[in-house]
Amino acid sequence: MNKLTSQQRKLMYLAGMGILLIPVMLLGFPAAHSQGQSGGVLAQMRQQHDLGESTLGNVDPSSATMNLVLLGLRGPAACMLWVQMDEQKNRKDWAGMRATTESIIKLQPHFQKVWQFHAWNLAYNVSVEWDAVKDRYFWVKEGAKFFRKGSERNDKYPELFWYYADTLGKKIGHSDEWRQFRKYFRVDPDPAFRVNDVPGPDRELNPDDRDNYAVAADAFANANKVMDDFGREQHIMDKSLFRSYPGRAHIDHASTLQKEGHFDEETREIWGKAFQYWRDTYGQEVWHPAPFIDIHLFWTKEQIQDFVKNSELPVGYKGSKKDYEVDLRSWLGKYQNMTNFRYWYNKCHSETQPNTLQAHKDLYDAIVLFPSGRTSEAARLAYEGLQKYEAILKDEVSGLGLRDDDIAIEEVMLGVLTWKTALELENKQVPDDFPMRQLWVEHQNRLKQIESEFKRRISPSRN
Amino acid sequence: MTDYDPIPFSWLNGFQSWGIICGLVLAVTLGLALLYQVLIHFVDEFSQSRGSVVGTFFRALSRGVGTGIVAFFAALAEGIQDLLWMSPRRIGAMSVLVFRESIRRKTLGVLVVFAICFLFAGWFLSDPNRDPLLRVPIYVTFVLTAISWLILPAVFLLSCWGLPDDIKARSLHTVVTKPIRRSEVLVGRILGVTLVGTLVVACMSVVGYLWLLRALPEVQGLQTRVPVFGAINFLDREGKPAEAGVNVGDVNTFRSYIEGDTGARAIWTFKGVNSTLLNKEGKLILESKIEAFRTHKGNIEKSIISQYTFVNPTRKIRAKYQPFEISEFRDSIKSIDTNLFDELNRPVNLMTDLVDDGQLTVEVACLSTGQFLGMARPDLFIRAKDAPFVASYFKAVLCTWLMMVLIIVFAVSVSTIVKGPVAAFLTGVIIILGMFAQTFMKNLVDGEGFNKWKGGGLLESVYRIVTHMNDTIEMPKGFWTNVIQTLDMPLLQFAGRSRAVVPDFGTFQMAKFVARGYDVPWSSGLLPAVMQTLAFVIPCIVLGYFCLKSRELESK
Repeated sequence: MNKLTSQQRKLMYLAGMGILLIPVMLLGFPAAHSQGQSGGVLAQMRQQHDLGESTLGNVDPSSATMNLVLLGLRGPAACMLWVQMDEQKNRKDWAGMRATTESIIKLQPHFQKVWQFHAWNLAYNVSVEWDAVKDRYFWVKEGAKFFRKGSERNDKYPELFWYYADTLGKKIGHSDEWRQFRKYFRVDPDPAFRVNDVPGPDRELNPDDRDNYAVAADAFANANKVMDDFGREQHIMDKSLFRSYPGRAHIDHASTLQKEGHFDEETREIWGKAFQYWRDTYGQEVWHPAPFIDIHLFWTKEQIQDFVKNSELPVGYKGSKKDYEVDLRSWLGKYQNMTNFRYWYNKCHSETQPNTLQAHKDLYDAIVLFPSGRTSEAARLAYEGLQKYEAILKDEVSGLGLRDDDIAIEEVMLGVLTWKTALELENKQVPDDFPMRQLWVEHQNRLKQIESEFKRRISPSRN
Repeated sequence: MTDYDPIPFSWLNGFQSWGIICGLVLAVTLGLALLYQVLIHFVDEFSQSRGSVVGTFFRALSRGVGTGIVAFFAALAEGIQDLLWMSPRRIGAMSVLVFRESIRRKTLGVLVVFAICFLFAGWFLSDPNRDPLLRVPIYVTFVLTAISWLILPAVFLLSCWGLPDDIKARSLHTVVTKPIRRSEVLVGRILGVTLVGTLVVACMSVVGYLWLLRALPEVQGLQTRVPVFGAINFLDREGKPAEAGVNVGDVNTFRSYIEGDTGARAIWTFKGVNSTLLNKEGKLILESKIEAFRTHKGNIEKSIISQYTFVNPTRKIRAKYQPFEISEFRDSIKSIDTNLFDELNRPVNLMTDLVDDGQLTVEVACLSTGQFLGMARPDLFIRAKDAPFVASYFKAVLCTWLMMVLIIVFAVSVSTIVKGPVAAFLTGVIIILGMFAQTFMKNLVDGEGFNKWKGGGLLESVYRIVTHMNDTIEMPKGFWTNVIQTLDMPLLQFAGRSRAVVPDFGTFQMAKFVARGYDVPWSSGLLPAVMQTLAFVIPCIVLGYFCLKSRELESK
């Protein structure tokens, strides 16, 4: 029989609640603001494992509110929104889909794959649903902005920085509409971005009015910086490839400028930047592919020999100096092959030479002149270009990067074809001997493909 | 959204369906009421009679049936009288009482929730820097949805708990001792709650409109389109009539496609075309939203080319309009001059030569070789004089109000016979079914759309489950299959009719029009909403009245 009075029971309940509050308070104390304060257990653990909102990136108050208000129903709500988003996409309700995407992100702000999925969806899947190139560009930008927003909200994920850079570089620079997209990146078709009635870029993506590849190169470098600053790994590709992207963006930039017919100092400078990155930054990075093995991609056989000769064997390495040298060479070979380091290094070096640029220019101009009927001029330029090319390939320094380069072979074959066709149209005899004849003969198996490319290039409807 | 296809209200189908369902419900209710009266009079007579059991039984039966029938018809007559001769003054008095009681119960607190929603709406809605064309639908939908979602729980609770509470507190007992009909009590309560709801909806809609003006300055001066839709037919690539165009493999099958540079056409026929549809400059405005599908890259800097041809099939006159590039997912507006040229370059007038007895035929062709254009019925319409946005917005609010009235009437009627929690549960179920399950039920019963029913009706499904037969396998032909499928038909029809017992709240959702910049149409927007409200209000009040009348108000 309970002998306690009602008041006594209430007091006991009150005391019980007070006691229970102690562990709750210990667990839930906020994070410490000054030295000497340790904060609550949960706050400490959050800090230790980088799980706090602020440690993961910028905090969006609306997202935090929504997650709090939904209590434990965040999961079901997110699932419903995903289904809704998919339905809206199928029904081509783009405005609704975009809004739902924003809601999903508010519920899952630190789920990297969610950002990745939606940004990709906007930039790649939604953009191609639109017929007008301007509209496509709008959605590509939406995707890029989404990646950027994701990287700001999660500033320790190198992947999101990389994807942002990749969208600016590859999506804008490599898609079917690359000519238009690249132009729009500098001069946005949306009248909202006009300043004093002068069209300009979308400053959110391109604040300094630069080429898309230049912005992408910085963004790739930023992704590498995130890895360095926070010691985080990425899960897109092998690290050795991931780290090469700032240089690759420079290479793409210079190649695209050449594809567009720009053979000036600016193009050479960009090749120079690519070469510099390959030699001084990427080539000097230390790779640790196996225990006791530390290599630099820039190393040559001789440098390895010198290194082994002048240094002590690593502590714990079971083997002779010779074994160590073999190991180093073996791993270096694997890494250089995987990253195609030597090819890109030599290519960038060759392209920085002034005579290389001139050879490209002559061959390019020859094809450009062709459709306008100026065949004799085209033949002359093609011939001069081939002569310059031959001189380059013979040169030990500038020719190294172009001898086995597929792009160079294609360029030379196109040059010969232009020259020959121009002469035939002029009713002139095609001489048996001509510059780069050997390469032309060696790659006759590619002629069909080269002819089709030649037809495409001289076609009036070419984009 | 691209699958916007307003279907005009069909008076014949509407009344037919309503008549059948109401007739069935009325017949069942009256039958049960008659049986109840006969039974209670029989039991009364039987218990009072003396003599042999058999004799007493037959005596009670003969008297009971007679008196039961008389009592039933007397009650029915009294009921009809009660319903027809209601006093507006007494109803008004009851309404004022309910209104005061609602205010006392802090119903207006819902406005605070509404205010909080709008204070923080900007946090959760899309980025303000984005395309205004994309923002308007989101903001407008948010406002209209917020109004309907916030008003519902408030009036729903008020309606479900009011009468049961009054009965429990015996205050209703006091009321009915006064010279007032029970029908007046019911209608007064409905009107009272409606009055409170109206006040809240009015406040919310005005605040919502002002908020829209602040959040979207472009709404000011915005016009909503008043479309005149036509019927669509297709011709295949050989120019022969076809049921539909080509399916290009799009997940969304709403549109079908015509092939470019072939005989394929989409032909629209508009009825009731006259000079009132011309704008101030005397031009006919045709608006289209056509989708593109490319089978090859083509010239990506140019869109696919389309062309309108106006046709008078009777006089065999054809006038081509200049070809134009389509603008996908955007509205393409063409002002058609009434002075056109036919195929022999002779001048023709659109209204006198091409409109045939008020009917205008427009052929749409795709001129780009190897490319396709996708179209559906609402993708081309004549744009009549625009209506102001504010009118369309408040028409949408009116539909939300109608939905609120329907819920109030239903909830109050239900609360006349059951207690508060049960009434709330029942009304809640009806709201959930009406809001979220109508499409599902429609697909299930009508066998249309993505969820097309497979595996037959009830009996066929049972057969398939028992015999482990997949729904893709055809039933074996024979007598028993015929029996099963014949019996399934009425069951499916019953299920179809039962679906109509639950109101379709989608009918009241007008955000789909306003958000897309259309005026809320009368025939496919307002009228179905008004008719559905009336269709439920009338039987609910009648049933509610008889339930209240039969209720013993002295007992809790």
